Amino acid sequence: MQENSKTRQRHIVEVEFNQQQDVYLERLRQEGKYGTSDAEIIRNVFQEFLEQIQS
Amino acid sequence: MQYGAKREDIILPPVSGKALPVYRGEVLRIIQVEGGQCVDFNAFNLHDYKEYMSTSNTRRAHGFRVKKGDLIWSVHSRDRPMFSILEMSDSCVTDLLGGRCKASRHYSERFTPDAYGIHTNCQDTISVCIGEYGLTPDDVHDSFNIWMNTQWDSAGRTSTVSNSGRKGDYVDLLALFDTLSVPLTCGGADSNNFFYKPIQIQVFEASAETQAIVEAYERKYGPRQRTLQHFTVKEIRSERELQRDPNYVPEFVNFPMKTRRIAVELSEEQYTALQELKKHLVGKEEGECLRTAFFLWYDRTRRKVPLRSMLRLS
Repeated sequence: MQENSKTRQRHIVEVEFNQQQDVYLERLRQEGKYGTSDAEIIRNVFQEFLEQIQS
Repeated sequence: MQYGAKREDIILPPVSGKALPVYRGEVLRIIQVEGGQCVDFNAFNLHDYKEYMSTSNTRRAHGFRVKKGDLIWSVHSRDRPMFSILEMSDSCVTDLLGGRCKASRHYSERFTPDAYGIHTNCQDTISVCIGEYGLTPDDVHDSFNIWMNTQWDSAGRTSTVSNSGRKGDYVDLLALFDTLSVPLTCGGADSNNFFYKPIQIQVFEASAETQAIVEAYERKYGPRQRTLQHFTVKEIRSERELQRDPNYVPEFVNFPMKTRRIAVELSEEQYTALQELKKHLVGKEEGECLRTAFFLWYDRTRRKVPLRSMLRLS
């Protein structure tokens, strides 16, 4: 079934990272698995976190 | 393991101790002569007494019951291993929480200067030992307690139970740099099965094997060590009175800390899950909760030694 973008709401959450925490984003960016932009990495990590705690 | 020749062999009578140099690659052996005697231990860098053994730094690395194979670390300001525990009898219960006993612990029993006199205690015994090298009672630090059978309850309170040391049991400490080592027989009332016994101390010279171990640790930990060249203030004070330096400019690490906000788009399902997590995770705001989830994940999946024990999912 195709996702209906009009009915599926998206939410923007602002998260604050400090300069030291940026290092972890950069490491994950270099791994390549979690995306390239900071937002993409955080979202994909969060998704994996949810899957871990639900399994 | 092959040690070098024995160069020191002394008996420490009850309620005494000895400050003695133990050089890089040498092994200090501490032996139970009769059994049941607690040994307190202090140590300093022989060439810079401001670097001394740290029970808290050691606890962070190995917990408060160090054992064979663990390292004894110097203070956080230097952060380097001082000793490697090469041997430790199974009977040896160690303690890095209890500090050391002191005279006033017995004041309520009238062991005071104007009544029965001062009770023996490790603070004073160590002070006497290190006085030989010009150090003062203020230089005594919390002991590495060897054969000190403590129990700690969930509220952090302690009690001492029967000393489990047996005659002939021993502990071998390999010095990873030149040290002034200070072993002593504990003079507390309850750590020694209610009677003080002697302890035997031996020092073995360095061998090819012990040198190889030292060099391996130097390769592993050398790059992270702090030395005087890293200090903004290097000089040791000679006056006791503290006075402010009006010209001092503090240079904190990464100060001021820079932060930035990242807008993360979540799906309906992810956002709903985030709301649920807010009830369980540390973090009142959505962003705080999302960051906590990120670092909990990172901790679990990327760190060899997980940092977080205080954050948990309920």
